[in-house]
Amino acid sequence: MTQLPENEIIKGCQENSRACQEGLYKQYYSLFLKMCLRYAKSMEDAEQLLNDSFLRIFKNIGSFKHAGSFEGWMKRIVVNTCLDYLKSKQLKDSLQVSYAASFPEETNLALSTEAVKKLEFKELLSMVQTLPAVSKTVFNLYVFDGYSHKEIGGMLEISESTSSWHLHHARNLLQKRIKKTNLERPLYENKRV
Amino acid sequence: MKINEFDNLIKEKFEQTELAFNPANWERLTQELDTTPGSRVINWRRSLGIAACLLLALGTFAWIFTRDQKVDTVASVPENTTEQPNKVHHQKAVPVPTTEIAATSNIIERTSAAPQKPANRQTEGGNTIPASIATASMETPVPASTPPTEQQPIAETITGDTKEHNDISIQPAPNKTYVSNEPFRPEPVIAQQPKGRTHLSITGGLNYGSLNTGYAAGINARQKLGRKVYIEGDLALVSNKSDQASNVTPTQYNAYAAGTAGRSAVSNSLTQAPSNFLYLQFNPSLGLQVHKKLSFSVGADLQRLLDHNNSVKTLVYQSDDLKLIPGTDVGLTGKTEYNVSNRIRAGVLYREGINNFINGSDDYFDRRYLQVQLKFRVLGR
Repeated sequence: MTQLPENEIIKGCQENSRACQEGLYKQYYSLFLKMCLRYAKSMEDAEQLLNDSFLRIFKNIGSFKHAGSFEGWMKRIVVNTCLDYLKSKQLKDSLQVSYAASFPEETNLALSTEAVKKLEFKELLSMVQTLPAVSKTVFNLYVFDGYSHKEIGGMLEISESTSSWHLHHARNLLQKRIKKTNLERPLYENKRV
Repeated sequence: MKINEFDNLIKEKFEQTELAFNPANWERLTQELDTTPGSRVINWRRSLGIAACLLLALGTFAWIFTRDQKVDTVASVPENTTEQPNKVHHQKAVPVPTTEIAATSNIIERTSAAPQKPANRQTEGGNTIPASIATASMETPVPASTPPTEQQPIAETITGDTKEHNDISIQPAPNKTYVSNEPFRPEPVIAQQPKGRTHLSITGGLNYGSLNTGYAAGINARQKLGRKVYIEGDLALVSNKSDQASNVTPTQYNAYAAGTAGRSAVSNSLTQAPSNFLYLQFNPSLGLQVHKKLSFSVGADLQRLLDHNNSVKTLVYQSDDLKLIPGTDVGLTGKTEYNVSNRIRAGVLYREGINNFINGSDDYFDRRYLQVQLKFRVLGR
C-alpha cells in the first residue's frame, strides 16, 4: 500500500474516487472537526458541519486550480459552511445589535500563562462554544483562522470597530471563565480528597 | 500575559488535541455523497472517449454517405428538345476523414507532483478527556498521525490522456478498521469509475408514418453528463416499406420540376420503385431524466438511403404532388422513454424530416413517423 501525493488525491476526488475521498476525509478529519467544534454548540452539530463541509469540498473540488494551498482552500470552505450555519441559526438576530464604537485597548491581560496551560481541551472548548454567538465567531475567525477585522467585517456584515469590540469582549469573557475555573479547581480537588 | 501570548496559548491547546476518526461519520457522508452529484470537473479521458465514439459513428456514416456519392443535381435539359442530357456530372467520392491518434511518444517519469504534508497533529502534553465528559470521540494526545510521505514515483505514459500507474493492483481492503493514527493509504485513482455512467444497449423499434410502416434495429450508447442530463446516440438500420413509390429518370424529374411536363406525362413514365427503403440512421440526442424511470430527449436524425441509385429519382405521392425521396434524409426527433426494468427501456420516438427546410424548397418528401422502441442494456450499470 502506498500513499499517493496530494495531487493524485485531488485528481482522484475530482474523478469521484471513493477511496481518495475517504483518504482525504480521514486525513483532515481531526483538523476540520476541531474547526467546526469551535463554531458549533455541540459535537452533533460539529459533525454535521464537518460532513456538510466535505460535501461542498467534493462537489467543488473540480474548481480547485492548484493556484494556492489545497488545505487553505478547504479551510475556507469549512469556515464558510460554519458561517452559513451560524448565520441561519445564531447570528441572525445577534448581528442586529449595535455595540459601542470604542473600548479601552488592552495590551496585557490579568491572567497567568499557567492558568491557561492548566486548562483541559474539553474545558476550553466549552468556554469557547458558550461565548455569545457573534463574539465567538469573531474570536474564531481572528485568532484561529487568521482573518483580519476588515475581512471579518465583510464576512459578517459588521464594521471593523464592531469586530474589534467582539474580539475584545470574547477575550474578556474567556479570561473570566479561565480564572473562575482555576479558582474552583482546588476546591473541587479538595472535596474529592 | 500579553494578548498575543493568550491567543497563541489558546490556539496551541486546540492544536495539541487530536480527535479520533469516527467511521460512522464517514458512513453518513458516503450516503449523502451517493445522493448528490459529484464534482463537475471535466473528465477529459471520458470526454475523449465520447468524442472518439462520435467521430467513429460520424466517420462510418460519412463513409457510407460518400462511398457512391454522385451529384443529385442533374444537368438541366434544354427546353423543347427530346434529346437526353449528354452527360451527368459526377462528383468524386469525398475521401473518408481519418483521425490519426498521435502515436505514443512522450514518456514522462514523474516523481510525485507535490510532497504530501506531514500530518499537522503533533501532540504534546498529556491531556486526557475522561470518557464520561467527552461528547464523542475525543482522544488526547495522539502521536503524529501520519509519517512523512514516501515519495512514490509514478511512471506516466502519456498517450493523449492515458496514464499507467505502477501501483494499479492495489485494491480497497474490505472491512477496514479505523485508527486515528493510521496513515492515509488511498487506493489507486484509476481503479474507480463512477457507477452507471455509460450504457450500451441493443435497440429495436416499429415505426408508422408518412412512408408507411417499417422497423429499426441497432445499437444505442448513452453517457450521463450529470445526475439528470445525458447524451445518447443510436446507430441503426431503418427499413421503410411503401407501395406507392415510383422511379423516374433524372431528366424526367427535372422536366417535371421545371414545369415543362405535365403531371400526367410524368405519371405515365413512372416505374415501380422498390417497396423497401433501407436507411442507415445516426440519431444523437440530448436527454433529461425527469423522473427515476422517465426521460425525455431531443436530437438530430441523419439517415442515408443505403440502396440509393443515382440513375433514378424516387418519388412518392404526397398531397397530390410528387415528392423526391432524398438520398440523405435529415430530421429532428423527440423521444420519451420509460424504464420498464433495470435493463429494459421502452420508448416512443417522433421524427420529423426537415429536408425542405434545409434546402429551401418544397421538392422533398419529409419523412415523419412515430416509432415504438425497446432497448435492452447489454453493457454498463
